[in-house]
Amino acid sequence: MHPLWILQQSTSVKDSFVSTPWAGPWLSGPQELTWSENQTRQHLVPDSRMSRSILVIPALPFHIMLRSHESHLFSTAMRTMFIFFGMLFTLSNAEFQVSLLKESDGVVTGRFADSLLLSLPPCALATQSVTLEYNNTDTNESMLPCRFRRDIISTIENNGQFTTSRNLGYQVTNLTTGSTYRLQYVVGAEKSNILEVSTRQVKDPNQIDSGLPARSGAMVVITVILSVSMFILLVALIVTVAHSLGGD
Amino acid sequence: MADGKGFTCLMVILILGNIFGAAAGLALCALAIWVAVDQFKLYPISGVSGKDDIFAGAWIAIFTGFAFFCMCVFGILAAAKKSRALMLTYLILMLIIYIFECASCITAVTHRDYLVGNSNLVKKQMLKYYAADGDSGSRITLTWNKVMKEVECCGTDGPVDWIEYNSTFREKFGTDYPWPTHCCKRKNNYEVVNVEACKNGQNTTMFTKGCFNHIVSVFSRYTWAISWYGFAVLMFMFWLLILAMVYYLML
Repeated sequence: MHPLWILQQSTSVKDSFVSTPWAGPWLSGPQELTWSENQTRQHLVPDSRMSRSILVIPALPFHIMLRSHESHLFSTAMRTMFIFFGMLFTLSNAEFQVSLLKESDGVVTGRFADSLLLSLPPCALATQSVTLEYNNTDTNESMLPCRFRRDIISTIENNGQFTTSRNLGYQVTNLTTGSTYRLQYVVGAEKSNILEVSTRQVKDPNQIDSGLPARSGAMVVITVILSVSMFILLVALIVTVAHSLGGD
Repeated sequence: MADGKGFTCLMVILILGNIFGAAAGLALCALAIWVAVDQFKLYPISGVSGKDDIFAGAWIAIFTGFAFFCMCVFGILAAAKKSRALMLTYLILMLIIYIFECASCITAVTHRDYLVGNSNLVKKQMLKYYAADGDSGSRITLTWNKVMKEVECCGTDGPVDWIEYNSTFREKFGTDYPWPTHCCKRKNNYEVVNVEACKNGQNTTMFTKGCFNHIVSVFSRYTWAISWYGFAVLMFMFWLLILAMVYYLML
């Protein structure tokens, strides 16, 4: 994905202009614009009004303008800034990242004994069909699961006023314990990087060494001082009794 | 040397010391009763492992604490009466009680080191006995369920313990639930907030901290009550007995 930046921010009309410079070919066919704010994703399929507003200047970066007083296009009119994510374009080495989910993504761990939690492809590729190819590096069997929606992990947060639903990742199930897998997303002509991870190897709990780890300082102090004092008292008592008996 | 100013002074010191010792002994008895009652209900963790001398030390301390109280009262009597026979009885009996109390302190602190020196013993016991059949299994299961619910924690060092190791729980219930449902957050009516999210391990729907810190703090509290306070009482009694021996020699 090429970086985007805001060209100018007009205060009179509530819109922003974002430029996407690239030298690739302009894609033909209907384009989809997606933008997202906070965690909700909006998806707009252009209609006839849209095409009127797009100015295309050949061989130069072009600007996408959407006027906000065409308010029916924007259901949430309270926003003051739109951020547009770029169009798709096909460069032969386009690659997006796939990774395991980590603690910072909101899960305890991404590696289980028989499943893995993967991050989802980026938002820009939404509504396209995705295939996940993975193979077990030991046995070299390949799997191409065709169901995708069911194993998506999503969180639903409801704070009483509105509910937001977020997709966290994808759970790949029915894996074997302790084996290495290579995983890759394929979206149309785009591929992600190949992620090589292994599922957890389940250990035997009887291997845990539960013997005495170390003696703490408190234990040593108490034992030493009390033993010495016991000894002293015993000796002192014997001396006392002997002296008093001898003295009589 | 029977009736000098130093002698009277020593008698007064001995009587005052015995009064203080009686109070300290009674306090030891009360504190040991608190430990033996085990308000946090963690006894099964030490009982099943066989290292339960924190509580055995508490029982000994109940008796020695009360015995110190009785003997110190007797000591006031013996010192005031200036009787040799009574003082000798006092010295011998106090030494016997002293030795028993030493045993209580030392064994309590040693077994604490065994139990919670590191998290291995507690983790191994949890993996082996949680959801197991039998008396030990049911006691450990009930204890862990209570701890996980009240302290809002999961596993010994964290939920990863359940998926890192094989366990009786895993063998019994399979891998559909990676950890017990007691690790999941519940609503006020005890219903799990979101079972599927808890199974996936989402932070917001389950407890992610380990229970070991709580278990360490409880056992440490019990141990410090028995062993360190017992140690303090014994150090005081040591000097009291030395003075009593000097007094006996003066009689």
